[in-house]
Amino acid sequence: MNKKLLLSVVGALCFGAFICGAVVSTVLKAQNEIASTTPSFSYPTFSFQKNLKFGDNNQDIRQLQIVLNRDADTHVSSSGVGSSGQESNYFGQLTTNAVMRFQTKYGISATGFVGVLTRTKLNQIVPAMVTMSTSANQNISTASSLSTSTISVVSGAEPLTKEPLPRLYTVRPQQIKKGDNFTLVGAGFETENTIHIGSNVFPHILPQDSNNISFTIPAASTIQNGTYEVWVENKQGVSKISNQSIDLIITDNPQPTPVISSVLPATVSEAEMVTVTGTGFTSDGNDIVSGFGTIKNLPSNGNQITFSPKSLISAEAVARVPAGRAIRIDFYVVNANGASNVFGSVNLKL
Amino acid sequence: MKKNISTICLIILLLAVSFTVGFFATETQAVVPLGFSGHLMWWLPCTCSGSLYLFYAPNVDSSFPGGPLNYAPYATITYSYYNMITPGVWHLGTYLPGVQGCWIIVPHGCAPLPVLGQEVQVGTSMLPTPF
Repeated sequence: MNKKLLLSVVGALCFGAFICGAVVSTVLKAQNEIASTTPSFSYPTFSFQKNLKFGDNNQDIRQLQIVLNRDADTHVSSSGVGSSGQESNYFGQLTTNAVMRFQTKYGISATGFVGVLTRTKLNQIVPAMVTMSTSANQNISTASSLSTSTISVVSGAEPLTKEPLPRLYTVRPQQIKKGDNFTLVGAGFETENTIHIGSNVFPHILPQDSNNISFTIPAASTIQNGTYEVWVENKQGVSKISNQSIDLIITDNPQPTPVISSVLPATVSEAEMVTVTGTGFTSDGNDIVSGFGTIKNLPSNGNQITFSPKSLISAEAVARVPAGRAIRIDFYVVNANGASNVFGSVNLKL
Repeated sequence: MKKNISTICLIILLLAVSFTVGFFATETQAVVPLGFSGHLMWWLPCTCSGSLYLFYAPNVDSSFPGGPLNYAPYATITYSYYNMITPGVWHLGTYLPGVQGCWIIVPHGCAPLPVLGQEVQVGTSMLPTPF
């Protein structure tokens, strides 16, 4: 009888301890999330789980070479097999040499063997490489926001992004006066960055986080009014891309970028028009830019733009929507002063 | 006396194990991507981010409501039949809700095109089919 009682008590205590553990874990996780003012969104990342050595031939080697190639100090090869974009599954002499340089760089004995210490260091580096831009999440806002979930960390053996970093997507506001503050929005900003504004170079700039840099051109700067291409340089590379220039306009009379305050009605039929109300619309040359296409050169009285959502969508696309269903169209207002910093949404019933 | 000490030690051990199991049972609940399936209705290149804006037609009988997802060639695992941009093919895969990755060129810069999430993996049918 006593034994039964003892067993019951122990069982109850164990259950209590289990619940306690779960609660403590949840509380700690919640505290971590609250402590982090910037939500972190990550792609699933590759994780090095097994030792690697000369002669091995498997997928992990390819991921290893990708990581090594991201750093000029440790790249496997500058051309041919093993170079960036041509990583292979084979652990040969070039990989061994690169691993040894990696180990030296991080104070690990340079053996060329990827063991626990080297894997630990690699696994610390990988998440930094694959951190997804959160700037969209931080900067998109909408009158009828998308239903989204917060994601903290996702782990597992998944592909490794090779998106070039750093990236610069935009500057906000687009037009400033010398001495005004503006924000560079992008991804992969480091603890120390160099900002290029045309031929003007501003080194040692700290970011707000990996997606935002707040910067003020010193009033004493010799930079003149004009349109300048902006790019960011840090130890990961240069944000400049060939097909798109990110511009900052310095002027004594900055014009505000468009702002959308409402879109009515929220749901329209094919024949109906929608009215966008806001500020910063120009008398003509306003474009509605959406994932389905663009309506160009719409006029405005300064505060309102009217357009037909149906005209954005091709007949072929419409034919793929089940009868009676609505699709949601998100759009920006874009004019000579830039793109609206919020997007509007309208449901089109087909 | 010895027996009592052993029993106490055993109980403490059991409590510690239970606590640890409880702790990690919730810790390991990593956020998993959600499943989706849909009929590709429309696509657009995300000209700044080098990815694709894939718009899926509203589903009639699926937990995925339809709408736009971002397909990143450098991050999304792709399976047969790799038919990513033919309207009318069926896509099946998983996505991370809330992750925004599609940026398009606008005057003087790029703007994010809102999506429901980032595709983690996706496979497609071979040929387009009528809805």
